[in-house]
Amino acid sequence: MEILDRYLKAVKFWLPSEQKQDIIAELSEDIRSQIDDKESELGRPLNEAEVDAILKQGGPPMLVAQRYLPPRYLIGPALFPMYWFVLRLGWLCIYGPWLIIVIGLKILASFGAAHTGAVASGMFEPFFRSLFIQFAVVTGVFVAIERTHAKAAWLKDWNPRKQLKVRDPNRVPRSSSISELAWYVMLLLWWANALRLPAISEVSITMAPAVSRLYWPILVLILCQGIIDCVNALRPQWNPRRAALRGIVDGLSFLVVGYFLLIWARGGTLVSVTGAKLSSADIAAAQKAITYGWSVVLLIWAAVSYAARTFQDARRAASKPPVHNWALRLLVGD
Amino acid sequence: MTQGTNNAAGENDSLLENLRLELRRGCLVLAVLAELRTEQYGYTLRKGLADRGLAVDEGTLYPLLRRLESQGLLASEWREEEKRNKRFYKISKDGKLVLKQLLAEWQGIGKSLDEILKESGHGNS
Repeated sequence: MEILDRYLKAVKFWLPSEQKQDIIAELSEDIRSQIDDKESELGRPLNEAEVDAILKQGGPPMLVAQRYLPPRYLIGPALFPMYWFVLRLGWLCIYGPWLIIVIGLKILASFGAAHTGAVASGMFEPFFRSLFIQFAVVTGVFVAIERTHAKAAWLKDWNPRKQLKVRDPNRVPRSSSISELAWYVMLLLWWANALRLPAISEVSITMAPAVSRLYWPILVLILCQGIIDCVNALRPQWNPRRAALRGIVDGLSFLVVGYFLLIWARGGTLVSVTGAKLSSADIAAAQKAITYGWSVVLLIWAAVSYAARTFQDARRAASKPPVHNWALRLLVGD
Repeated sequence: MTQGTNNAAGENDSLLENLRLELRRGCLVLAVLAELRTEQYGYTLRKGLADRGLAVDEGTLYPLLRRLESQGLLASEWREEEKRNKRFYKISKDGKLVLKQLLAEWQGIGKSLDEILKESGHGNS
């Protein structure tokens, strides 16, 4: 019976070589017995469709063969949650921000800043290459752990007292408040010109007029952020009033950062460079490079972060719990 | 009947089928060991189980027979019958011991389940 032989051959292909003959002999006997029974019942030989129906009932050859094999996987169920966590951590900490910057640049390009579009296009290829390498490396490491059974030790030495603490969504981690406070103190000193970068001889870098006219509002915003961080460090529990206050400060900070990005998008500069020995082309290039650096490294990230913080602050102000999401927590930083 | 109701009914059927298979899978080892107190080959075993209301497809039964044999609970031999080579299975000495223990476990589970169902008002009345 040609169709039966073809079916058995297809099953045989997927079986381990040392068991092929034995399994196929038994399976063949079962199917032939089914055909014999059916023929005795009908009192005539089965037609093609009836034989096909018996084979179809058995299932596709690969699936039939797979049932004879031990469970096989690259990363087993014990390790898989950790593998998935590590992958997501990489995506959230590296590729998420990277993608936000690329998308931010593309959005700015749509506002007429053609140069940002070119930069974003240049970032796509390394983004996907790096993403692929990260996926391959993490998968490779976990496959190696699975193969060497290295997981057995930590599964055996598991200690219920070493589990993560339950996180109170309304509690502000002190470490987060203090590190943020340190950042705003540095920013304040730099903004108030008390913290000077090493001077380059005969070159002066100052804020562009479009930026310096916001000197006082920005100074007040930085002070407010610092004061909120001080209060959070001393009383690390959100209440609606404090959340509303920070929401307003964050919202205003977002507008300021957005305004700076708009200056960049329209081809303007955030700094003024002067130097007696510099040509006007050098000055323009330096101003453009500094503006680009600030915008790509700091401002796009800051805009997204302030937007996310405003959203979470608004929820806390309305006495609702903040959205529990890895990406948002990473952006907000608390 | 709306499309949404049809989908929900379909999902429910599929869920029920999965749960039913899961429930039967646990009983299958017990049924196979008990049936093989008398020597049989695969197809007659399958028919015997189906006649008693425990239909099982060949893709499930034969891998199970192999597993039980590799665990030393069954013994098998190839013999010619009705001009065809057939593999005959029979429960081993270890298999009989395991069957006895599994039966005790099964009866314990049945008793507990009866109690639970009686308490929650789902018992046979």
